[in-house]
Amino acid sequence: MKWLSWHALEEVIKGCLWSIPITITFCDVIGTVAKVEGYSMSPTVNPKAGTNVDLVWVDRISLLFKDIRRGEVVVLACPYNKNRKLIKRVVALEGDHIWSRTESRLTYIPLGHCWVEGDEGDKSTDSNQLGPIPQALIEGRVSFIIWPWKRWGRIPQVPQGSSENRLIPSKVV
Amino acid sequence: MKSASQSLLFLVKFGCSFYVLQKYGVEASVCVGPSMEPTLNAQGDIVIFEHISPRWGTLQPGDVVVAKSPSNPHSYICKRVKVVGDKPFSSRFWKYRQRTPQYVPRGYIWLQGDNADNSTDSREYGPVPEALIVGRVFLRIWPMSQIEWIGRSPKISTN
Repeated sequence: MKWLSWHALEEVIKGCLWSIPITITFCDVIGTVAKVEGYSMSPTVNPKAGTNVDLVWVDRISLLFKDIRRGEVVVLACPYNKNRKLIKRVVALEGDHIWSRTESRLTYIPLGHCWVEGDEGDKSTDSNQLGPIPQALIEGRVSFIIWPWKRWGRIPQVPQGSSENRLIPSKVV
Repeated sequence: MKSASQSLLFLVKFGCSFYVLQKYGVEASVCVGPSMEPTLNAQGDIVIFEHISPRWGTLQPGDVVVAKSPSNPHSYICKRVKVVGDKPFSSRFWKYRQRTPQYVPRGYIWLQGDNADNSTDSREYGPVPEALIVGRVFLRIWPMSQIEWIGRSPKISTN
């Protein structure tokens, strides 16, 4: 066992321990790879039910210097269950008015809130049930599909989403 | 003499460890504003809060918490927990500005400032998702003359 000196072992263990805070900081500040479950965002993410689980890149650092805009796909903490994460598209921002998808009711988006919807309208738990959601719940932008390779690439920002005739914007951004 | 890359690595290591300690352990912050008077002063007290209780879901009515503001994603608020959602006997709360009974559902928390007359809180924006709660305040370290533990019972105003 000459190749394994105690000194080398100590160095390896030290390196492993130091990598823990560095990894956590990286994931919290810069971004992570996340697995998407559920089909509320199909056909953009997880297009076919039951066949695949997409991996996406969650970009966190851009939240620090770029405000959320309409049409971006985001990860947010579920308002009623802090341990659950949701992936939705931001459809309306503070100051806008929007007709909800389910019942024809005009909702005003209060200060600091936004309206999020899944691309797949009917299977989605979103603002149509929960109402406007605090923007502070948003934890990152879902900017890239990493897996499967076939659909690798940037997720398009669709400013209108599926809400073309339901959104009354307060100002054009 | 250390080389530049070595000292950079040192900086990264300790910077990241400090970050993790702050975000998962205890953090210090300045609380400005009149909403928590007389427990906290309006001029800006420095308080210490921990991230463990909100993470474990062990917050209780009376705890002073720091939370992300529901009405502004870039700012934080410091309020007292009035009702933890969907616990027995506490699930209904009178929202007196709108004069309608307000239900605090599971996963939400009702926050209110100690200074009821000068506080923008759940009476304004409704129950707050638990996910917005960042930490529980337990200690004030500034001003020096008022170093003390922050508990579950609000201070009684003396004037």
